Amino acid sequence: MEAPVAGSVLLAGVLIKLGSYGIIRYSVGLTPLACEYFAPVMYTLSILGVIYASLTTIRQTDLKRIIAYSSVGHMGIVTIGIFTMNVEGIEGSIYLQLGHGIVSSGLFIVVTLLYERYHTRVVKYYRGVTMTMPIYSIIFLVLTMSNIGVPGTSNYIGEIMAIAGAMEENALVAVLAGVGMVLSASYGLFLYNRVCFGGISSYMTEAPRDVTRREMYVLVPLVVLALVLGL
Amino acid sequence: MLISIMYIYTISGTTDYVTLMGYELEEKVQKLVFLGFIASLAVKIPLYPFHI
Repeated sequence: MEAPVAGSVLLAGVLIKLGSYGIIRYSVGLTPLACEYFAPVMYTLSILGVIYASLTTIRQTDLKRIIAYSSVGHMGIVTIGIFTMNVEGIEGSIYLQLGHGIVSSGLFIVVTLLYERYHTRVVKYYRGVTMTMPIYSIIFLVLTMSNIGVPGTSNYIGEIMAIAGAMEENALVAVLAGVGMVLSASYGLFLYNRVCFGGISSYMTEAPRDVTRREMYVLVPLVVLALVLGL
Repeated sequence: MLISIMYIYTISGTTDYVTLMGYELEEKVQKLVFLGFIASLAVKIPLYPFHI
């Protein structure tokens, strides 16, 4: 949790995906019969993971912790998609991993920009960032919406395909995964609302500066990719 | 995971993935190998009981 931004971005963007790559490659490739046999167990664990992780995320007060915990929920949807063992499920989970890698890395960078300016990560100290940093707020909004999975962004396509694949196998799994996505919307919008809207917080005393050119070079490719992949 | 790979190696005599694709494992063996792989991969993906 106290990792530097590069470590968090690498962990969320690349390292987490190695696990699901291993499942697609080894478990589905070498042991397909066992995958079908153990699928109900994996569905149960994934759904528990999605709902429990989302409920935990809602209660966090640390900016970076909210982003980090949201990965657990999204990777639960990925696991559900893989263990449906049909084309929609597996392709959807691969696409969701791609989108999540981009969006989660972007959100880590965005949160770190705020931390570099005000040196705190507690949500309660922030309010009214839209007034002082409008460009930052737009980038944050696009990335938050992508993390929630609003239609038109990269995560939406992955989620809808993974849930459609789960619907073919077991409708209850698909419905509970959908509940998990609603919970993800709740903490995503909660975070954005508390940080960006409202009057300016009295704790934000330093002279604010909006996103600099150097930071734009990092963020614009991620935002553009998140939108282009969702077309 | 390593134990699973070693087990596959002892019963099939190779760890080459392309060769193993043409080699059908028994269902009982598959279940054991699957458990070995998932124990390590579930930690890598933060799956629910292993996510701390």
